[in-house]
Amino acid sequence: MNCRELERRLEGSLGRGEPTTLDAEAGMHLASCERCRDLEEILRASLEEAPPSGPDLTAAVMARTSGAACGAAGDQLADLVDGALAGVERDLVISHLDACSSCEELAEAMRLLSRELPELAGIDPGEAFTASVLRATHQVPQARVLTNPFDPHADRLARWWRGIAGRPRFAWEAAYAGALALWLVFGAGFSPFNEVPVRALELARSNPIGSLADSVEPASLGRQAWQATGGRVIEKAQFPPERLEQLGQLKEASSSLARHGSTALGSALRGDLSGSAVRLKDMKGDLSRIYEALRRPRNQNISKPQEA
Amino acid sequence: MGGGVIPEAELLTRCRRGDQLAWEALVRQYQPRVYGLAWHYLRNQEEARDAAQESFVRIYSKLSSFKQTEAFLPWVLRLTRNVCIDHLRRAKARPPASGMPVEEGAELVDARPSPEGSAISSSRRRLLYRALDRLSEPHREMILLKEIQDLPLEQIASMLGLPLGTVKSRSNRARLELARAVTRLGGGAP
Repeated sequence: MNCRELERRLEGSLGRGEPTTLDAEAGMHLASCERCRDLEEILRASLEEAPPSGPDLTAAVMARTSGAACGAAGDQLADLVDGALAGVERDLVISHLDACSSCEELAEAMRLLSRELPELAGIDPGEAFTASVLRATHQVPQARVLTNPFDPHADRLARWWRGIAGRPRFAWEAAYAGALALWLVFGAGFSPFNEVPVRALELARSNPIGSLADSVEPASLGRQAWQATGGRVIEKAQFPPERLEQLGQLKEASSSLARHGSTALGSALRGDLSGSAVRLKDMKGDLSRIYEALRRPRNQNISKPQEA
Repeated sequence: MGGGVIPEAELLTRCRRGDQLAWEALVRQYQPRVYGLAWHYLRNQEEARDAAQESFVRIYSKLSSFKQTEAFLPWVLRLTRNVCIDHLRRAKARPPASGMPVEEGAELVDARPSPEGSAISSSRRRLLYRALDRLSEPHREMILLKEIQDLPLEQIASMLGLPLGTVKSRSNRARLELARAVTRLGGGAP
């Protein structure tokens, strides 16, 4: 038997961890070959049970390879304590905790904190606190609770409006929309109000002071001033009765329009959409009256006021 | 003579109608949480009382804007937090009243109030407060809102204006940091 043959036999038995007995031929070769005796001794020694390596070896290997796993375990400790880890993830973290006392200590501290911290939530501010709050809120106006059936819609509308108005380009868009609306109402050929600017200009040219004078409240300072100055001029002017009637109607409808507009705005701001809608209908009626007054024939000339 | 527990929805409805008794009951019910949150933010009893009172004034004047489909406590705590942030901003704008450094002042744990009905021993509570003081500001706030006040992560994300994922990871890191601080102070186990 040569060395190669003996090595093959030794690996076949001792290499697999099985105890073996060698035959006489192999024993004769071992007795004569020191190298093969050394090999047999090494293989037999490797079969003997080694003492456990302990966690130090794992830590040493981790330190020289990927680094300690404490960071990765720490990232999942909160989920483990909350019971939010499952399956392999949970097993891996628990396996790390079994071997790492510092992480186990952290996990235990975290479990304890989860029970203790909620107890710090409420602190008694003392006997006098409630009374001081009640005193402080006594004079504070509480916002009115909206009770009309349009509440949900008003709320949705308000949220939508806040979203729209909060955008940076809102001012430009509002200006564009306003210009478009003005053109549609007064500038477009199909608009019922397209002659309003022309009529208004004519009216202003004819006798603006007279219109203003009619709107001044009696006994007011403005009225007295008017009577002392412009009134004297107007008294000398010759107005056809139809024109005076037209001016009166215009004045009344304009005042009504302003009053209804103000009321409608106030109602809308208070969230009273139904009230606001009613006032808007009134405003429509006012506008119709203004339109009717302005539709009077143009050929009713007003005599110009005489020079004072 | 003790009255029964009045359901929160009933209390709120009455408060919105202007019922003063209901408002008083609501203040009594929520004042420990409001004052507790204010104290944890401001860490000064006088300022916490002022902030808590101001919070209740805001709550009172905004009750009508509260949607009863939402949870009331998170809404209350959100308002309180805003008041506390305002107080902190004002405090930063004015010079300190004494020459005591903030950290040193924060260590005066004996002056701290006792949480209502707490089963934690006073020494343990002092240790927890000291550990909380060692946290960074964002982590302390996260512990305060999530662990102490027990607010849902979604509410905290909305309150802080942060993505939910960021809030969750910050919360986990804060808990780990607090556990480390407690362990270093020798309070890992009772």
